[in-house]
Amino acid sequence: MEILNIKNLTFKYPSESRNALNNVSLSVEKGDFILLCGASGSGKSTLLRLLINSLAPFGEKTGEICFNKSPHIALVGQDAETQIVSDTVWHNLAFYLESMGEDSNSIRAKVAETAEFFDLSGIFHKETANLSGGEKQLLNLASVMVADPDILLLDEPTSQLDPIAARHFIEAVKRLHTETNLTIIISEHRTEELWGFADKVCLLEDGEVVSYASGNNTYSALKSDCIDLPFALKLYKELDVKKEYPISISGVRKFLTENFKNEIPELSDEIELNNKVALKACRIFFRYEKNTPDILKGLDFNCNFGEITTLLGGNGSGKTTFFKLIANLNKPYSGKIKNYGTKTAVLPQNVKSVFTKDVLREDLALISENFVDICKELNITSLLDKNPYDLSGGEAQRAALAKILLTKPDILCLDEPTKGIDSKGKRAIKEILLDLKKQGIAIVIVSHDVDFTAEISDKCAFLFDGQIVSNGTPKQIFSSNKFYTTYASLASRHHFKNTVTLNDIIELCKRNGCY
Amino acid sequence: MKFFELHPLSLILFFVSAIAFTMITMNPVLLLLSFLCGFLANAFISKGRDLWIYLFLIAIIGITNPVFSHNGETVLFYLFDQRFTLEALVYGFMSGIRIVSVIYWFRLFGVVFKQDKLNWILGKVSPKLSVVFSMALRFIPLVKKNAKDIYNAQISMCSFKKDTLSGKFQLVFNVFSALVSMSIENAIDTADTMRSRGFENKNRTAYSLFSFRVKDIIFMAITIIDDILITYFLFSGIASFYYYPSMYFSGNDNKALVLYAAFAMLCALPMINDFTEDLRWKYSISKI
Repeated sequence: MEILNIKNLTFKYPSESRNALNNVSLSVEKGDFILLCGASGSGKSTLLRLLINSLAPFGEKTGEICFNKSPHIALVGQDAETQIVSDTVWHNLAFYLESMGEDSNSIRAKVAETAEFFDLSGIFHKETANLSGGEKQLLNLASVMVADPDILLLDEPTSQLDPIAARHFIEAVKRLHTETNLTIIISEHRTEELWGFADKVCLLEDGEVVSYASGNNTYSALKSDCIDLPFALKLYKELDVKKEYPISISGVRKFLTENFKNEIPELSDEIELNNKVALKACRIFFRYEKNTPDILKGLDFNCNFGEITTLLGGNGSGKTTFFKLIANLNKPYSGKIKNYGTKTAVLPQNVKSVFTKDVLREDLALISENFVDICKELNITSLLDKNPYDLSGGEAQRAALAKILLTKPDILCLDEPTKGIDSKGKRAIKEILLDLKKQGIAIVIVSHDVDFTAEISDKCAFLFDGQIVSNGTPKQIFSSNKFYTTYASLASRHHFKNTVTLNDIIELCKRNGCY
Repeated sequence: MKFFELHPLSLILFFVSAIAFTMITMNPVLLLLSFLCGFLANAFISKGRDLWIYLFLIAIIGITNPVFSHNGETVLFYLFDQRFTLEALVYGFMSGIRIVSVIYWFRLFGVVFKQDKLNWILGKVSPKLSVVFSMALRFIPLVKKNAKDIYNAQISMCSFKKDTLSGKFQLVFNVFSALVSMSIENAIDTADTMRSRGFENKNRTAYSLFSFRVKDIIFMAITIIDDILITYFLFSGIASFYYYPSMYFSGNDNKALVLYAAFAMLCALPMINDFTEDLRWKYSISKI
């Protein structure tokens, strides 16, 4: 049964010349799971918001959106923080039902049931300010699910979460779909777990639907490379093999063994040694307050000029705390950090906290008048007259980076630079960082994103429980790690040695040749 | 169920009764009962340690009154050629005890009546108001966190010279203005969320985790019976106590005893409740 039908929908924002959506036609069956893919700014959010009357953006709209029996639609958006309304978890859960005027007994029953389903009963009485990002987003999902919507819209729900929380959230969404047969439309950059699962994948490019079919069929319709494909698909597409393989790690394993020789088992791991030390931390101990436990327990760390060093580690392992020490915002109570640079700059996780003015141009001028060159380099010249708060995730990231680079640092620290950024944005950041590296700047990155880390870093250090437990080149770290490693390493270690990125595999496959 | 776990309605009824009766009477027995119970309830339930300080307040009020009020027959001595009377001294101490008793009851109210209970009351008045209240409570830690993020970012960029006064002022001003933009930006998102969750509907209800239990019914029933007895006897004038010109008890002694008993019962309710609760717990443990 058809629940939603969009016919020739065209939409234009009043301030822009280009159509945000162009002649979009979609038909959604009841119980469908639809994955909406596309680069940032391709119109995903606009499309989702147009489906809800109270959130529909203002602008010129032509075409039709037809619903079957006016279904109840709910939306969970990107930012977990701003979607939380109230101070306690239970009140957030009850909020929607209160609005619908339900009586206390039915609210009690529904809230209890929902909290149980999403495994929130443990935090039911907690204050929302004390929740982790993953818990917050799960709470947002539960808070709309209490009202039993017919269609659930998810607008990049995991973009602000770390990979583990993101996987947890996606699992909850999948379970919701399989157990209740709920109609779900989700837009996501993390397509790894969803591509094969979705009934249909809808590709949006510059406001137009390029393809609307099942995951396997969409794959053949792909033209551009700016869409966030699952790892397996990227590989299949690059190596262009006719036979179809499942989109999963085991699929890739089969694909590699069946198609490629492994006479050359590994690429050489060239390390360019650069001996000029930029930062050296020796046995650092740190705690925030006198009576709290140590966050850092004897941490040793060093990085060199002209190198990219990455700190990996889960939530609460002390990565962000260590950054505060490097930036001199806090001081260790034992141990010493020797800083050989002249200026250390930190790009915080919440990049918007860098800006203080309403116009980007004025904001950059606060630091230095000569911002034109850096703006060209980072490709943000067209954004100079915008409000920093109106920029998209990737744009804001580059603008903030520009502001920080204006302070002329020779040690640059980045806290989760790829959070909420699509693959195109990641590529831009990668190029910028490699360029800065060439200029001799020492770059320290804290990240959850193992795939990005493996591609970009010269050295990796794995932080756990306040200590560095292993360090080395990405090839050493990721090929020796069994679980905490990249998809590429997991999928290819049976066949090749030390392949930790997609490019490593492609390179080796090409060198070895097909059977 | 401990005293602080009772339903907000039971608690409000109790505190209104205890405070109102303490405020309208000048009968020394009633005041002393209220004072004693208020003190003990604070000591046991809220574990307050600074309760002794209030005794000084009583002493100050007690001594100040006869200095300014010269009514009364029994002159103790002359101070600056003015009569210093026993009646005025006793009256002063009784006023002091009355004020401190009320303070004790309000103190206990503050300890017991946390924000969830306040929110329940607001919800009864207007469900939307209670949402605004809980949003404000959520907003405070969020703004604090954002302020810290912005401050740290600005400091690490050294965009302002921290060592001069004008630099410091500029830093604070810019952090504040960025904080305001960020908060407004976030608020727009939150408003969208609320609208999509039907906040604009007219017939909003207010849900709370409190439920009215048997214990609440018993607690309220005792409070109401006490209230009726006390009101009846107090206004029929059986416990009228006059301080001026000389101290004089005009009431009926036997009937006054009933009043005292009822008032003692009312004021001791929090402690009686918690003691029976403790006893029941110990008894249930010893059975295991």
